[in-house]
Amino acid sequence: MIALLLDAHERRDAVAAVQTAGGKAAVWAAGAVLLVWHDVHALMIAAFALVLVFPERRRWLLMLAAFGLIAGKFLPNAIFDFSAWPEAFAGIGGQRWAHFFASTVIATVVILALVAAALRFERLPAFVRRHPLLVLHALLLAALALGAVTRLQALLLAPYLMWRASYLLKTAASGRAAGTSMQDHLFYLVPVFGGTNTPYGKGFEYLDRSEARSAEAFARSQLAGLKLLVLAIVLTFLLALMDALVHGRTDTPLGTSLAPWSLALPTVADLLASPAAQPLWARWSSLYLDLVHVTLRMAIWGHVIVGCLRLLGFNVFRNTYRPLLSRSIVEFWNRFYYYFKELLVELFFYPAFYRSRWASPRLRILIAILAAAFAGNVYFHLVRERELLFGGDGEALVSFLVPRMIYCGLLALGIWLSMLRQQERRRQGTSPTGFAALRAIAGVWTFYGLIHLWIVSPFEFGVAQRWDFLLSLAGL
Amino acid sequence: MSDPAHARENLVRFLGTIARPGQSLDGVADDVNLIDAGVIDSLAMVQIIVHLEQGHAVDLLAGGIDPAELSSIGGILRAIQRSTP
Repeated sequence: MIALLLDAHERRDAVAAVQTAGGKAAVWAAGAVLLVWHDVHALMIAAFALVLVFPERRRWLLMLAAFGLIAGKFLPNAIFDFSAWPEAFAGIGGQRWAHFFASTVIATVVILALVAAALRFERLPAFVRRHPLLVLHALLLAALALGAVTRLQALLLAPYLMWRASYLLKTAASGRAAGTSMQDHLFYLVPVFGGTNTPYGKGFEYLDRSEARSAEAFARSQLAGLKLLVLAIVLTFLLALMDALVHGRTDTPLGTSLAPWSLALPTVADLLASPAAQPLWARWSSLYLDLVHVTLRMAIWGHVIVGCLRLLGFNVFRNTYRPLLSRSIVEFWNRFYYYFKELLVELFFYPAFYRSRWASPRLRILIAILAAAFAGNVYFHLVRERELLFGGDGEALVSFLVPRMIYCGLLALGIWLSMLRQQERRRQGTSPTGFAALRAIAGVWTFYGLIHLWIVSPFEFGVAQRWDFLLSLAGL
Repeated sequence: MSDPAHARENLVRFLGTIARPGQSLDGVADDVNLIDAGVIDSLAMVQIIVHLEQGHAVDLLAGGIDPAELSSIGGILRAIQRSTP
């Protein structure tokens, strides 16, 4: 049964069955159950049904869903509280409705203006055409600052829009938006398939290349999507099991029933919060287990979003693909959070690499990696923390920034060394096998475990606390 | 530039040295996106760029060539051709 599910998208009989009316109904039913289990937005489930029936209208339907998402984002919460309608309607004064309409209109106008600008890129002022991303980020940062002051929610969407719009303008600047229309871009700027500030599925070009053009390709994509959604459930169960058996969490029925067998090992956050004496093996175990924990969470989250994309007919890469089996630091970076890495590579790495022709190849790669894994990474997270950025609390900002900068600096250095090593290995045609492969995997776990402790939440853990924990791992 | 068949052969030989372990370029069509197909990862693109700059004197910035254009065998060959006087 498991084998059948794992390779269903490769099996001709399964792919053919999914293309029949009964098969489509079965896929929708299975998909809807899985999406409800994963608590996916109702609009996604509705869009999935419509795309199944009218696949040739896919982008148009997803654009409608995008407008629905924009409006839904700003609806007063009380509208869904049916039991309290009489009171709620009294409570929802004109001010709140005015806020809803203002936010919806502003967000819609900003998004439409961005697409219109991309579609008429050649007519934009010369400075904007030369520096489209610089202008975009300056405008969105200004909007974010204004939003922080006025509390107008529409403006606070800037970090969410920033990276998707960057892909849009990059496509426009390269001339590849020619011949496209609103519907080709709106569906990924406000994606019904979900996401964070990181654009899963990247932008127009990758989604366009990944889109199913035939009934067979669509069927394969849907089966691959169902597989990921099921895998996400399996991983969710594993994570709950780990929380219960390893960390002794008792806030779930599973945790309560397994409590007597729990190892009750602290997490790294527990150790940072209460640095009580723990044996060395427990500290190291917590470090490695935290890496497994964060990887499982990343995989679950990404599988659901990529699963949705595939159900809709965009057969894109997974966000997380077996990173714990990586044999090099750069390979882990590629497999752990693929769409974030791609964002950093496309928007920071390549431009820096292009502009540093004066440097030697090794230095050039270092400059590009620093631009991506350090500068880009810090900037991305800084913009995400708008309260810190515009809140005026300098101390809080520094205590957030310094550990993040240490993490990003170490990550960049590790990736650089790993890339140089990988290049050398590929030139020689060698790769670690057997015991050497195990040792390489252990090295990757250790590196990422050690740097991850610099970004363990909450950010209030200071540099000194994190440094002390690091020293304690060496028995000091 | 040498004849197209020879240039392609040389390029495929080079790409073989930066391909992901276990990936082959045998039978890969010229228009296939090598990153989407999983043959190379996006960071391997830097090796393609260095190869073009050092081996073929291609100036990507001056030529207005986007890295995305270098993700297929055909795209790389076109970039070389455009830069050849």
